[in-house]
Amino acid sequence: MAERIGRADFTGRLMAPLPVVKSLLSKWRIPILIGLGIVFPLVAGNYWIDVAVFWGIYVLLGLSLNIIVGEVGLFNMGHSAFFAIGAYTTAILSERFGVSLWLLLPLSGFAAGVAGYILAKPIIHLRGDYLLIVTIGLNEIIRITLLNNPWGLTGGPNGIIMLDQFRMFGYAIQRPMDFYYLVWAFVAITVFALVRLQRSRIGRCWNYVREDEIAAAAMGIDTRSAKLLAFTLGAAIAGATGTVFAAKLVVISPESFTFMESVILFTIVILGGMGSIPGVILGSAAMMVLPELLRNFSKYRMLFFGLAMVLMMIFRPQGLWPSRRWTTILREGEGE
Amino acid sequence: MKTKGEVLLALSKVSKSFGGLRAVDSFDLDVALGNITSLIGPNGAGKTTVFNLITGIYRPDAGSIRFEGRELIGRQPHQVAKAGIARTFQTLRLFENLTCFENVLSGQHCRTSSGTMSSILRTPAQKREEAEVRHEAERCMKLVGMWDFRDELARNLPYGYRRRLEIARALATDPRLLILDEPAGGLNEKETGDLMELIIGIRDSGITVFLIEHDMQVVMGISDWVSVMDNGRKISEGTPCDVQRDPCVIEAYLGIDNDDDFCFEASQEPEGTEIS
Amino acid sequence: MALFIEQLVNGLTVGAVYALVALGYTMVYGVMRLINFAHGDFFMIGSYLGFTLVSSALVGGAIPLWASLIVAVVLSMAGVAILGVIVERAAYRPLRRSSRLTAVVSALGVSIFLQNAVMLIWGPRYRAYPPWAVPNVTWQVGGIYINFMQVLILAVSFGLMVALYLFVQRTTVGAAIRATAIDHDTARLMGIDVDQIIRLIFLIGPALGAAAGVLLGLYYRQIHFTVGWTYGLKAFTAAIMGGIGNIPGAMVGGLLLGILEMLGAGYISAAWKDVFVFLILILLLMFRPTGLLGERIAEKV
Repeated sequence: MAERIGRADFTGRLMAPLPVVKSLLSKWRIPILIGLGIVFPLVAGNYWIDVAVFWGIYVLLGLSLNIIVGEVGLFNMGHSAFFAIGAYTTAILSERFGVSLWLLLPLSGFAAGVAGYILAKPIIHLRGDYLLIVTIGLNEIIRITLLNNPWGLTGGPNGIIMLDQFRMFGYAIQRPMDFYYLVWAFVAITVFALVRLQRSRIGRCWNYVREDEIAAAAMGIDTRSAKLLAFTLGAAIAGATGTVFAAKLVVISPESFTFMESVILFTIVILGGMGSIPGVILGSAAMMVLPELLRNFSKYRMLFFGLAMVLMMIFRPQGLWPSRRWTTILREGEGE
Repeated sequence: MKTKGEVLLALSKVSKSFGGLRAVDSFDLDVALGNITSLIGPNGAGKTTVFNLITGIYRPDAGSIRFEGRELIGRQPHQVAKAGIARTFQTLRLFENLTCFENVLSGQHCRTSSGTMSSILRTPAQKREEAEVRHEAERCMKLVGMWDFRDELARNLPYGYRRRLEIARALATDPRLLILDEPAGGLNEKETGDLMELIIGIRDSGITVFLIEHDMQVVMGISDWVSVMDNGRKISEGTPCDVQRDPCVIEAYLGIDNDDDFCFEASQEPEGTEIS
Repeated sequence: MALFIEQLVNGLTVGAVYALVALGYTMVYGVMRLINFAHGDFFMIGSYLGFTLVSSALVGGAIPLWASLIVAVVLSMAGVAILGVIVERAAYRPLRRSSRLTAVVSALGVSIFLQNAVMLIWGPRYRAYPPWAVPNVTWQVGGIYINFMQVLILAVSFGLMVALYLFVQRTTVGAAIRATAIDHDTARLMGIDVDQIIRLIFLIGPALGAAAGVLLGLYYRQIHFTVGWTYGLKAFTAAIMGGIGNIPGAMVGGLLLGILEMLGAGYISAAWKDVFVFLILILLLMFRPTGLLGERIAEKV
């Protein structure tokens, strides 16, 4: 036990003075990983490229939830609602009004962000447990609304078929390899932006709010608007991811946006390591790739998943790739 | 050049009850600009409640609190801080899992304005602001002598340094009034002496100080003006010497049984007090 | 008017079920500050155990119906109670000193595990209680029809709730439970074995949930392993409505929620009734988070 804390502490000292992605310190690691990433689809079969595409999508979603849960410490278990809003906005606007997918990326993000803001504003002050339940309730409300096909907009349980594709200079993005580069390019951009944000005034502000709200307020920080910003940004990124998801899947339906999906996202962030960007990447891999490797045991997959969650919390609550900040909090409680 | 006698913070007939308990009862106090004012009184007298009323954590049932002439009541804590009042906490509320430097940096948040986009894009304005902020935090840390600890996690600090860190953090908000809640709590003789020097230094740099304290060495040693509370009411005020000799104060602290009632409302204006 | 009364009766019936489940939630939350996500699954497992017991030839054919129903309820309560204690020991006790977040994730893990275990054991499709298990008796009272199951549910639920209330309020053990809910450390200092109390809570709560599961299984006849989350969430809503940690509150909250849901289904639309319920939850938390009867957990000053 002590050895585990020791390792995290040592990493903590290396990370001084600001919380930072561990890999950025060993500069040679990133170019090699990027190189591998670029080469991968050229050697792998379509099936595995597809797995990697969905891995990338989960990474994007995980990163967006990480802002809310990891950086600020808000319990949000309804995140797939924003994903859904983005995906459906894209599908509806694309099919009915022929809006270009490239334009829909920021548009869906915006729609989801606005929804995030409006939904979060009245509840953001709630204490942890209650916020958790409310976000679950919101998720269900949105899912059921999509299912019930209000004004014929959402296509009910069958969903919407979206035929449009991303086009670059006339070339349509439709092969798994195309989607792979598209998704992982977005991942790279998002990681870049989030790391920059983490090491700035905004990122610090979120940390202060998460550490001690009362002290943060005493230092002049408007905790409410800091939390709202995190929520809105997280929702927006999830919404934009919805556009890519819709393009990839072609058919979107409420099944993809259930409470279970939100639980998976939440788990990715927690098991990967809260507030830790490499943790999210690793966590999504565990969620996506491992089950594929164990396809023979698919019946028992969720069983092991549940078991894994319990065991992880007991033996390694700080996650696979911990962020220094959370290690001690999770092990020793909030000291209430 | 500070004007002696000008009132920076004025509490007037401030009252606050919790359920049936009157925690603060028609309390008056003027904190003079450029002074070190102390609020003392037995445990449970209502002192921290007064602080919480000033900083906006509680809302008074009656009365007014004016800072630099403007009403504070109704403002949220972060607005009070932005207006120029910084505070420390009796129970010490540091950002435990962040480094000392990050802790002090937090004070500068309300004095800066870089948003999401400029932070991601690292605009020249944002970079300038970051440099200024770091410079200011460094200055505050050096003022309290904590610069060597800048990369240490706050949770690993020895006790005496934790208090100093909180003060540095409060100073980083660039306040005009610094409110300290029992800053000498738990400190040994030497640490207390250092603290007294530090507070005097802060006062001399132009920041008005208002503190709650139980340690009489500190109160008598550095205060320009002392106000005494008991059971939510002010029972005495004046220079340290005046208050020390006031029988009401002695009675409140030591509980001497006395049939004669010596106490009266002390409501003088702190005019032209000697700064020793 | 007839519709109203009918939905009211339906609502009371469903509400009584919610109340039983809510009681378990509220007790656990009151004592441990833990949202036990697995609680809804205890309810669900209760319904499955009841199904197996009622369907099996041993119970179903050999003895009179009323006896077999009692046996089914009692045995499934016992089975789930044991399961509850095992779950507490394995998944929650190691995390008692850790942050609330880890406990919640662990509870989720337990929930997922239990759901999938049930799916593997009983199969992925809906199962149904045999039609002969439920006596088809209906009474007519002043123009409205009330059937046997509704009466049974109401009777059993109220019986259990009253028993629990008396237990917590009038017995020494009940006082120990209330003390533990306020502060673990102080309770320990008073000589209370906190571990034992917690084990007791995890016996009673899941048992009540199991009873609710069997009753509901008999009422609706169809059961599925995915209903745990929905019922759990609604039961938690009911617990919050009444004031978390407050036992009478959970009862009131459950009944009220059931009535509101059924009225919503009747007057608005069945497809939107869950949305209606969750909206109530959100509005409640926004405007009256302490619930109708007030919270019963210690606030740290």
